[in-house]
Amino acid sequence: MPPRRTAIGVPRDPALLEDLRAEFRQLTADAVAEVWNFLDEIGLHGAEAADCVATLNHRVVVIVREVAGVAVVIASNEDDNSLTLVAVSTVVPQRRAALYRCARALGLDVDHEHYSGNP
Amino acid sequence: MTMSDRRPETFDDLRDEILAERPDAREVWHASKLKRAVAMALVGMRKRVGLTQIEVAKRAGWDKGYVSRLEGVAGGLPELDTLVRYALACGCELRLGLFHANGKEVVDLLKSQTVATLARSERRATESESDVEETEERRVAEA
Repeated sequence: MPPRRTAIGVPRDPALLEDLRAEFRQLTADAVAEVWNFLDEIGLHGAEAADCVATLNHRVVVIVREVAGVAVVIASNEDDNSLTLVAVSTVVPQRRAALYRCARALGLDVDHEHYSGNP
Repeated sequence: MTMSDRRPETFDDLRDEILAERPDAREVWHASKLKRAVAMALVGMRKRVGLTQIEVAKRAGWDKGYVSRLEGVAGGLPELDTLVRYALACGCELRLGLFHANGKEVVDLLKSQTVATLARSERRATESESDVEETEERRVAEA
């Protein structure tokens, strides 16, 4: 039986969603396919595929990986096991910038941070 | 209607929007369907046996970048012997068959003998490389 794939959400905030669309418009077709493939991988296998994992407010894990020169940032909410695509950027974001953008996407304040890996 | 007029709930919805708007991305996405399926199968096998890309690379005698490319979308399909080598590195075996439309297997293309032959030729190739290196080292030492 194939493994169950977790659906990856997108930001509810219209401005953040539009940022995401704009970022996708800037990517080459090959990069878009690579990013989508990585998202399928994350949906199937979770955070193991990440280069960097950060914890936000003790409950949101931020997954960052550089794929074909594109930084992909995904928030994983441990309360409900949901995944949200936050950013795809040709400029690899600094850890803190990625974290704060995740916090905005999820409507959270940053009151705790922990990092592992090397984004 | 533009992309901005709709409210996607999931990434799959957003992907459909982008596919509708970008023929170039649509072309790459559809053209890479088989490669993606193989790549996902390789990642799935590696994860199930609990190995990292580095560990698979070490066992197969490749560099990590090559394993990463095998598991990515870009490029063509891997050669059959590469897939056999990847499977062996994961402690698995590759199976390939021809199936009738009713789902019944007609021919197991790699049944035992073929897999064993490929695996043996892989090992022989690795051993030969070591022999050549040892001979070269001896020659240098004698000189």
